[in-house]
Amino acid sequence: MTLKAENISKKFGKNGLDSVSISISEKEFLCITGESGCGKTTLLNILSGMLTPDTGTVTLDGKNIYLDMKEQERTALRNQTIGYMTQGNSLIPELTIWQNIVCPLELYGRKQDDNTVMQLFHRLGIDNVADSFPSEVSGGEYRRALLARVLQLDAKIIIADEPTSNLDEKSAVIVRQVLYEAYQNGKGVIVATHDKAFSEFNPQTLELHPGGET
Amino acid sequence: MFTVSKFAWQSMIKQGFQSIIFFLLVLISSACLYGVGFFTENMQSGAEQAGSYIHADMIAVPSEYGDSAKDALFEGNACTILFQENPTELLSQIDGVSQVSPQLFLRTLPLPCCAAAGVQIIAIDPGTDFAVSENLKDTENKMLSENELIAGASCGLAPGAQVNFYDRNFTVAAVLDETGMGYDQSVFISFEAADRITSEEQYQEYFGGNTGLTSMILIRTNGDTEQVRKTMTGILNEKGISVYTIDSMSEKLIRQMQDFRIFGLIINLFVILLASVSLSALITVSFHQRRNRVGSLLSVGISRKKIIEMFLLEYLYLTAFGTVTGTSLICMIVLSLHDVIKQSLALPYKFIGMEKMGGLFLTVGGINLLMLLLACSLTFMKIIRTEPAILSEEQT
Repeated sequence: MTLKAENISKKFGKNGLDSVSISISEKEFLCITGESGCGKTTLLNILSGMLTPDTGTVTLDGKNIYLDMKEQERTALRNQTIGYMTQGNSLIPELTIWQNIVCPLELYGRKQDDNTVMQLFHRLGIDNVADSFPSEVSGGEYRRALLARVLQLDAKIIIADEPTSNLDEKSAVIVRQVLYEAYQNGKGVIVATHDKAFSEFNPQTLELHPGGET
Repeated sequence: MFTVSKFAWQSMIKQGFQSIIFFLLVLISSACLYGVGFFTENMQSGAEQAGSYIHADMIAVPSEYGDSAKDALFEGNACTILFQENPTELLSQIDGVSQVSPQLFLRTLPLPCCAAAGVQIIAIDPGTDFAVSENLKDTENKMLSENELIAGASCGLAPGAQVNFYDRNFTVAAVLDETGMGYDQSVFISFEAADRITSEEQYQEYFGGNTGLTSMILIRTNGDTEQVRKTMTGILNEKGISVYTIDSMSEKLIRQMQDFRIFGLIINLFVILLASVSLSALITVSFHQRRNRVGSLLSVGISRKKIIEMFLLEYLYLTAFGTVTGTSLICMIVLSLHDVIKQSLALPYKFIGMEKMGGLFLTVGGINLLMLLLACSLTFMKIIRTEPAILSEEQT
């Protein structure tokens, strides 16, 4: 499975992406770096089908996700094929951490095995906050819960936006390690980050510059 | 298993303050819609059926008391109507008249045991009466003895109860079905008992010691009622007696009630407009506070359809609770105060029955549902049309 973006351009305010091209397949690890405001999140939004580019194409195994797929299919992609861990506080505050993790699948009738979910919680060190609400957990636990939500989807391509930002080193190590394990298990992983520690996994790197230069 | 309904329920509980405001808005609008509807329907029902409960085609009264007779009959107002001479015999001999039944409106007296605003005491002739006897639940007791009375539905009297007025004890022989008109706040005694009262010296001031007094005469015809009325008017005008058809008297009431209905409709339209705008504003504010949650759900592949289902279900729960609570409150209040309301209104007012109450509840529920869909439509359009990244506010 290959997710490919070609000549993507998108204007946002004074900044923008200009003719950016990248490709990610299973068993690949790609880090996107660059200053704040250079368009990393915009690029990830476009790759995950969340934001239509001004120009350029995004294809999944040759199928243009914006032209050849309906909105509904693009949404379904993020539930099955592309797991997207957003940068912001995007857990649902009305649901417990556990419910936040299982709801994307269970709302579609796919009952999750409690033991499997618990193992994932344990691996990420958040098993003690499973029944807590997002407002009751620390920033580190929150980010790890976001990662758990994406991993639980078992998507072939994982896109993570600043997964280690504002994390203490212990939490950051866990997050990096879990993403690397996903790559080793055959997933394609794209990470937008300022975190230099990802370089220990020798990923492919794409550096974005403000104004669209790459 | 986590479901859309569980999501909506949990979201509703956690929203707390906004949910309470939404619930209260629906409750208030439901109570207004249901209350106004219930009142106007009860009044309309009372007005429409008032004529039929008299079981007569016409009434004859002294000409100067036409309005008083209508007020006494339909609204239960106190009145003092007396014929100079009893015309019962004369009326019964006119062509086209099949039955006549005299009534004497004695007084409106407070009864300590029962009705709040006092009851009208009416004397009837058990031998010729058809108006009262045909409204009886149990027709076995219709032949009144001198010490018995028949009570109207709103007098708060049960068969067998003892009532004292004019220093006499009466036993309640029977209770009338609810008529929605003045009969509900009346008690009926026999002319025999009335004659004994009116002839007593202590009531000389009121009745002049006379017997055989009559206030109005109910008439049944066996032909064209309007034609008989014209014939009667020709004969009775000189004697100072007016004849009115029941239809013409109740038509006026029905028109009056229709005015009330229009007024009620205007109030309800205003309530609907106000509630729709308020709900719409509340839903819009709520959506703006939660728009990044919509983006977040979209980012993990929850479809817009499911997200709309969640929002809609959350508001549906609140609408259902608000509607049931609002209408139940009104039901409890108006049913427990039914007789007090009826007497205070001084207008025909008859309980519309459980079936119509249910229909009214469904109508209010339907209106609330429409209001909800209208109020949600703008928000749902935003959910449908906005790109997920814009909703999730993840843009740089």
